[in-house]
Amino acid sequence: MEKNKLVFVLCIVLVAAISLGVLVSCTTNPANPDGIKNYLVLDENVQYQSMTGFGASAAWWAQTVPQGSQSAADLATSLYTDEGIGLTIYRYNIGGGSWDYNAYEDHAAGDFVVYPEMRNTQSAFIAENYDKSRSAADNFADDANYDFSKDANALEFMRLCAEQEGSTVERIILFANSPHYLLTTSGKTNGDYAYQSNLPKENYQAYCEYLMKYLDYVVNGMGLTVDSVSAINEPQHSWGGEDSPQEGCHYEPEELAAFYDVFYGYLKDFNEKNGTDVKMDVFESGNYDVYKSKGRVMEYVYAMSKYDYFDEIDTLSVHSYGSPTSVEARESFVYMLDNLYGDKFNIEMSEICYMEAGLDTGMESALWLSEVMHKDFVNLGASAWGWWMATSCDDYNDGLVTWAWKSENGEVEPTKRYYILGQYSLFVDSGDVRIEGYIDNADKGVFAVAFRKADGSIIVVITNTGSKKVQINLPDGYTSLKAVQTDADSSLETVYDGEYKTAFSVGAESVTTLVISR
Amino acid sequence: MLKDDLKKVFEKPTLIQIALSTAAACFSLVAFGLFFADAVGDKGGDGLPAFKIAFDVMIDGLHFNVRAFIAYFIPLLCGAAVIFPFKEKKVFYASAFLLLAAGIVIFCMREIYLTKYSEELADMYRKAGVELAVPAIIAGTFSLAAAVLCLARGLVGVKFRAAKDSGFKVQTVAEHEMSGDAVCAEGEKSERVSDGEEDNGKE
Repeated sequence: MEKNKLVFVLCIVLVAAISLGVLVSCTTNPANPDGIKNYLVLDENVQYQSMTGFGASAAWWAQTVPQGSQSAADLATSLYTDEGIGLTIYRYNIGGGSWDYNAYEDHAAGDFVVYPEMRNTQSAFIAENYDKSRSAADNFADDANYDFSKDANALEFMRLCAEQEGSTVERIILFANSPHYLLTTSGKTNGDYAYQSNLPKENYQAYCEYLMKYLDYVVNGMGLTVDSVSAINEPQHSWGGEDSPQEGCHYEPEELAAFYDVFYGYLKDFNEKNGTDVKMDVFESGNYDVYKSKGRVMEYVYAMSKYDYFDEIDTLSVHSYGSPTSVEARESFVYMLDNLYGDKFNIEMSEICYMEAGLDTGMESALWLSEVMHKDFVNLGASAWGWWMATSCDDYNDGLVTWAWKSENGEVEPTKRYYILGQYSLFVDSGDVRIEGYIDNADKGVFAVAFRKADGSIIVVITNTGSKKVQINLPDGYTSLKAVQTDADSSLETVYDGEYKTAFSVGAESVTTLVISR
Repeated sequence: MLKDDLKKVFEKPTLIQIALSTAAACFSLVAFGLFFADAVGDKGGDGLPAFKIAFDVMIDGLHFNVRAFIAYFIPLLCGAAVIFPFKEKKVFYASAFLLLAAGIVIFCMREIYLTKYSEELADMYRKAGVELAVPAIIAGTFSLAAAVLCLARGLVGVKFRAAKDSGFKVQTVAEHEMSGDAVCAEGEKSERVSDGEEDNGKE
């Protein structure tokens, strides 16, 4: 009896061992056959998106930067040169003119932390000149009705960033959150109520005229090269009623698609007339959530697909709000786009911020930022990446640096978010290609993304959100290694530069950029 | 041989009834539990839980999708019902029918989800790859399985009565103990049944 029990137990153990062996052999990564812990897998033959830049928005704060001030110089250097973090995308905000009637002065109540007067935007359109006897389109097409000196601070700061010595600006995007208030149904730069479609169809042309005046001024008046114009921002959001403390305009999918049809014609004419290649940026979706009822991202894309201009669009801009750390939300969006339109679209992630009140200048929001960036590159396939406001002045985490708005010699104080963005933007150039690169058999919270440069060197950005130092095991076949790290105690600090080695430790709660050369 | 096995089963009628009821209840309750798991999804990995289909916050407010709600709520009710010691086998037949219906509706959850869209958009989402999520397939399968078990539970009572009518002897607890068989947990009820008070629908 005892012997039988022993045989039975042995049989169970044998079966379990065989099962475990089969399981292990099935899960062993061929790129890491020995199952080495925290092993960096690189495969240059597997290539994904080509990168097109990193940026931030110059909404609200840029109009407060005094021209010719030390603040202007410091901000421009810290954001748009390699002495800073070398951003390449400048996003100029075409205001809806809320400054004229001080729309957002009294919105400090509730959960929102706002800066009185600071969310109002200047408009170059001279409202007093509006002639009701003429059509809206005629009014907004009239050069005499514009005074660009009204937004001189923002325009000149853009020029400074683009033309300063060592400027890294490659792309200027003109974006609007709302049409001019004289063109909206509510007569304001947000709706009277939530989800009010605030741009009536009869004003589509007038709004296009408005945008074209800005484009013409920047291109022909200032001599800057504009990459694209984004006329619509987060169209699925409510942008109306009491919870609307900033400029914004809701569009239904069909309205958005119809507006773009008109706008595309204007841009085409402009490009033909000026020999430019200004693109229509579509459509700054507020999220990429395909299942949330308020997400509706696929509905907007589908609505556009009914128009001829859709064939000319090859890029979709989206924001990472909604599900900023969700792999599934990103991959479902990509999956659905692929099912419907194949590989037609390049994705750009043009806006995100850490939406929590207070001012976190440390690593918490910085590591969150790195996680979002990582997932945007890997799971969304984003080729460009943009932060929301480059500067903030109060207790809200929507800036990269803090700076006292309006001040002449205000100190520019970088947050760790600024440095973490720099861990990517200083090393990954436009044209670099994302390649297969990840940490196999990784500790929890350790992840990496890799890019290949034209000269053959590899950039690997490794994030360790864990509280312990982690040794990363690197593959053979390279000759030199440089490592730059940001953590609680260091900021973009070169921690190693020398001969290649196959083991490298990254600090706790850190982001490390490796430059690997053959 | 088979006859002997059946004979053994019918010698302990309440045991199989309890087993069937318990299994039906378990399947039903798991099916209900999956109300909080994805009902629709796609190969990208994202999805939407059934409760969010039932209580959908759209831009014009909260929308209640009665079909999505009932499809998952029925297994909860039936799961509770079959656990209670009903004598009436009609309860089990009714539960079987309701669970069958719930299972079918759960299998239709993708179309139920898409009803909030126009036919054009629904078709777009179908082409985009929206499909029934695995948890919903499991919920539907479990609901159908529970339906079968409930049906069996009802039929066992009928068979038992038929067996009894044909002179088949049902043991009381005392007889069980006397014969050295495993003690029937529901012996008292078996005894009552053996007295011919009611069919063995009571547990």
